[in-house]
Amino acid sequence: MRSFVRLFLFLLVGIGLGYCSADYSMEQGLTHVSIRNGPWTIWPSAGSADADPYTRAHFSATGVLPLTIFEAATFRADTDDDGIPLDQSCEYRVEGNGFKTRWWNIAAYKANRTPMENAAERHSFNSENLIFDSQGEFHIELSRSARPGNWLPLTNSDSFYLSLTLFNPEADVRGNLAELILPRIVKVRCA
Amino acid sequence: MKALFYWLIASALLAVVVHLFIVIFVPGVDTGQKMAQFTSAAAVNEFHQIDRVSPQTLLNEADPDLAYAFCTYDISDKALEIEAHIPPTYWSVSIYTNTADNIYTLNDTQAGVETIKLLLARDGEEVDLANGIGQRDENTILIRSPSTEGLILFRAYIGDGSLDRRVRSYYAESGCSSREAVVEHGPVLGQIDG
Repeated sequence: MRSFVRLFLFLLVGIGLGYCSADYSMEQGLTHVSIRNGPWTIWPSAGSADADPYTRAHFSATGVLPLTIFEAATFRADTDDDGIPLDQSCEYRVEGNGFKTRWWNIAAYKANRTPMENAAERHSFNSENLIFDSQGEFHIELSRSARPGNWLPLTNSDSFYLSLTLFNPEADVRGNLAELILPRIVKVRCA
Repeated sequence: MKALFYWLIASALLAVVVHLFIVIFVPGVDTGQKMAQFTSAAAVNEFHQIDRVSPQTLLNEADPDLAYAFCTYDISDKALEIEAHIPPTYWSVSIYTNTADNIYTLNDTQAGVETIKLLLARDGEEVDLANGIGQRDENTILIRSPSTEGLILFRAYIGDGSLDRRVRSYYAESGCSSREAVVEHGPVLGQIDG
């Protein structure tokens, strides 16, 4: 009987620990395979034939077909600047400046990686259609109720995440992914 | 106490094995399922446009500012010729293997022309760019894939949708088609080995 308990615990601990550590490393990334910059994360070897197994596993699990970093650098954030998961029942302000890149955009997705349904059919803003202020800064308001200016509608109380994609980034952008000044994600209020 | 130590070591080793198994083998299953979605949605070696990005879109994390089109390919018997009409906006074509490796990407700036042909052949296949379809075209790029099956994905900027119709008119003139590929000779605009 005692041997069975030991065997059960052995399998529980071994399989549980192995599964959880694999899931975490594929979802969040490890230090040497993904780069954190504030709330944003990027997998720099995405799409490359030389990508490490964790990067391959991440994109296979998410079903995303990535571009290599020479074509597009994609950062994702599922928390605000304080590290609290993004929630559609809250309001957020995303603010920042432009980038040395051909064009860029910020899009919002549901946790299942599809765009959020909304009557306005607005899922993103890009460097061409964003309204910048006189200092060259942009502010995107994310909320369920309409806002003037750059408004990205939220719809329910589910979690969501943002992606920031820089198309054809210049070499000094690609080489400084951890130091780039990326948009701030500030929680304004929660319902 | 000694027995407990051995059980802990054994558990840790099992955890490492499970971890590596998931990281190395499970992605192949996931990628295969994703590729199967594309092949079940459209015929192989043919060009298909994807409807405007919506919650029901075929692509995960599809960019709302882009219009997409794709060809799934099977080049085990014949090479694939891709003719792309490039709109006057951001455009790119990416070739993925069946394991989702992005082996090749070309954008509108790099192409520098309005129409371009890509010839996708498997590794080791002899290719003649002059035969098969018409005459040699100096805007033909030969690409060799280590995989006989995979996906070609086209992306073009439509902004807030105002360029959607225009981009789709360029997609309507683009296409993918199988072609015989024989002995190689003559220059090509560019060539990569996958």
